[in-house]
Amino acid sequence: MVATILDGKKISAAIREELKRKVDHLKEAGIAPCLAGILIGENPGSTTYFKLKAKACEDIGIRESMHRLPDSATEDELLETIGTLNKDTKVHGIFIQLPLPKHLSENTALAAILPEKDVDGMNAVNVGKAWLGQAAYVPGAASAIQEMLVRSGHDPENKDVVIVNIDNLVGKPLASILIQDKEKARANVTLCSPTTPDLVAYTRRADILVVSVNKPRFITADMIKSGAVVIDFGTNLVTDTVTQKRKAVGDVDFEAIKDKAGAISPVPGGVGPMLITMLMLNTVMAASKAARLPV
Amino acid sequence: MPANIIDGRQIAAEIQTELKQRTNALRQIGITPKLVTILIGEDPASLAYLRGISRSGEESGILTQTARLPQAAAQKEVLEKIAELNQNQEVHGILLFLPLPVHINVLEAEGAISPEKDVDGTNPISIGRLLLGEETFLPSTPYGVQELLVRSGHSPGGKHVVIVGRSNIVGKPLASMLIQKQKNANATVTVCHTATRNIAAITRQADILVAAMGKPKIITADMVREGTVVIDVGVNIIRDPATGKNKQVGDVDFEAVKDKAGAITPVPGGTGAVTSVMLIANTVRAAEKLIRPKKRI
Repeated sequence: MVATILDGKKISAAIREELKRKVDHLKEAGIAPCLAGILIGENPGSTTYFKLKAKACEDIGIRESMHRLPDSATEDELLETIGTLNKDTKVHGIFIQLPLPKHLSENTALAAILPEKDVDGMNAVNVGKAWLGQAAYVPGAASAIQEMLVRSGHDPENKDVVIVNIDNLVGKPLASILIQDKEKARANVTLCSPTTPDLVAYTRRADILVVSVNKPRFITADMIKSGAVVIDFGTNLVTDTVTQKRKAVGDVDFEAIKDKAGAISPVPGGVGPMLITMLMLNTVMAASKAARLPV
Repeated sequence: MPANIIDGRQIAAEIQTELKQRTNALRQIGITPKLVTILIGEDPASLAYLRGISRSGEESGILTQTARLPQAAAQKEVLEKIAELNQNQEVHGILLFLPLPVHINVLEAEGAISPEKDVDGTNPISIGRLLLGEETFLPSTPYGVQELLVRSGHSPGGKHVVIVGRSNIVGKPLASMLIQKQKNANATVTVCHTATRNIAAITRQADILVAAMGKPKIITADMVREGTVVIDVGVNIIRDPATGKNKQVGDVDFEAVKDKAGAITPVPGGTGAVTSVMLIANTVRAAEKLIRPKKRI
């Protein structure tokens, strides 16, 4: 059996089309969805993401309000910028481009964003509400994986979902969506880490296996059940043995597993391209909520 | 093999003794931890829990007080009472008894309790901090489960813990506690529920099985692997066919499972016996934070 390839770019494009229509409706109702971002310093990786987010806003028709602070910015300056954006009723969503320079506390900054505008879902209020099954924003990686599963016909309901990751950005928020007694959820969720004793005993049971460990080709073919749906959310740069060039590979041994899995997300081109789209989706949701329109 | 019985009452007494020492130390510097519970109406289960809290409070050396509001109390009155207790510097912990009358918005009421005094850990911000691995108050029932495990020599580190039941007061907070990369946690956790197909296939994998569905004797012997540690959080009142009287049973078929499990908590006298004590422990911790803000709970 050859696995279906879960094409994140295609799913992302479909969601963006839906968002464009929603944004048009909002604009007709007099609401211009607006996403504000804060970038501190000149880190090249962060700068690239920051610009991609601005471009995604432009593509979808979301107004962007991007703020750059120097590397030397103090906590007070950062909190003041967040405070201004919190108060600005024209701004519906706020994100802070991470990582922050070492002298600034990410926890303090993230906690300062109003929960209603916390479209990255990092504030403890959103984390708590999501876990309790209340309406909340969740980090993009988690909602991207859920959307990828559902839109490719692999609804997690009543499936054994094994997640190899217990981070605040992936494993915990994904578990928090999938265990709820709700549509697109109701899964039996197991949270493991790469150091879980006898990890293979868990991964082999998975109907749906989600991996994010940032170890190249960590999951080998013998670690999965035949027909499993495998979501690879790892990006590792390795040197290609043939071409001697650097290339991106996932946490899953794609070449070996693609003949055993039922479906698999590739790296690159899997969950990655969906992340920014999920931020856009949350922003549109925030704008709809602020306007008291159906989400 | 007959299982070890994990004696909740004995462990509760042990924790109370430790708390008594801590409250004595606090008293010497002029602090008496105080818990105020808010009871709306006359719910009999809440009244029974209240008695347990008062008793544990007394044994542990803290003050407990109950603010009673009539069944017909308006949302505004409830929020005003919470705001008043949030402000009151002599109050270290606040507990709002559930269930609330249907006209009261539970989420708003729970969210109104200051996270610094939310000793039952029900405010969404407390739950969020818990999941993020930040310092917060652990909800008392799952906190009790963790204490029972650790104090009976079954620390969950590296074990496969299967939790049946995904409620906001037991299953979800317990899962979020046990997955943390922290002492007395670090488990591999599976959360399943009563609608799970072929649930026995999952429960049989458990090193530690936690039953929290609220359905009498639903965990039968065939669902438990030999030697598993079984923690029964269920409290169900059923009629005893022999005596015709009502009695308390858990979610686990105790008589059948006890010969197969490695260790098991009874009902009553298991998890229920420690819950109120954990609430008191959180209140003591809340008072201690005034002088030692940084130490972990």
